[in-house]
Amino acid sequence: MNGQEAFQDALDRLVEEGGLLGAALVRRDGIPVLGSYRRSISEEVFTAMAAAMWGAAEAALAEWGSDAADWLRVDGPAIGLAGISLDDENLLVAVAERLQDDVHDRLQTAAQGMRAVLAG
Amino acid sequence: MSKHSILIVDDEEDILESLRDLFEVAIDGARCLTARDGEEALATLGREQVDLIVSDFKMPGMDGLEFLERARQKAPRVPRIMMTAFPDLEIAIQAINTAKIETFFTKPLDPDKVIQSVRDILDERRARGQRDQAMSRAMDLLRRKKEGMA
Repeated sequence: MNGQEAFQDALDRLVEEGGLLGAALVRRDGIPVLGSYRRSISEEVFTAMAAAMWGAAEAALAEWGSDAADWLRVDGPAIGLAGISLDDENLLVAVAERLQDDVHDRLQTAAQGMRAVLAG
Repeated sequence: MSKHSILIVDDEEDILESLRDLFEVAIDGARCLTARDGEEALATLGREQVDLIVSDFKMPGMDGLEFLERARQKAPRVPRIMMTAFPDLEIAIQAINTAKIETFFTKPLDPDKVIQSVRDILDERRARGQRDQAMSRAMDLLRRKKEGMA
């Protein structure tokens, strides 16, 4: 299994086992890299907005002297979104109908494996 | 593939070589461009993509302060660092206020401090670029969506 396949497999398992609606590897400039989705969505819009939201959060934190964000969570009435930093170039973003309390831990576990793949 | 282009400006060849070697070894993906004076550096700035400028202060002809001020006008988003063997408070104030430098190194340079400062500046620049691109892409998509709905 090559790197891309390993990543896709990790995303598929994260969605399946985590009961998520979708998960994606997103570049920080908003370009989608890989995704696993239970529904048909505009991946371009989703990843661009997720990355923009991440960038805006980091810009806000920077005003307070913070280097960067590690973790982002947005809870809505019907859908929640969570993101975790993978490395300087990439984010892991997940969506669920209701984010469970352990979503951070599950994303962190998935992220550790993905970081190892990214590091080559 | 180089990730960062650093323009080093100094009239002393051995300083140029030492800094180029230091940056290209210590900073992942660094490509160094060198110039022996301000005019050559401004010409390089005009034709090359540069991510950081590191300039000596004392140079014949155009000094580092004048060069960095002109570099700021030519490429305002490229961060600037000044080095000098003659630390002078007035020059430092001018460098900060007018040339808007990021930081100031005194010679002889401490390689570890120089590398850390350069890394921090380049990391911040990269992060800012990514944020800008993400925002720009998102705004473009919003606009297209709005036009599609109009």
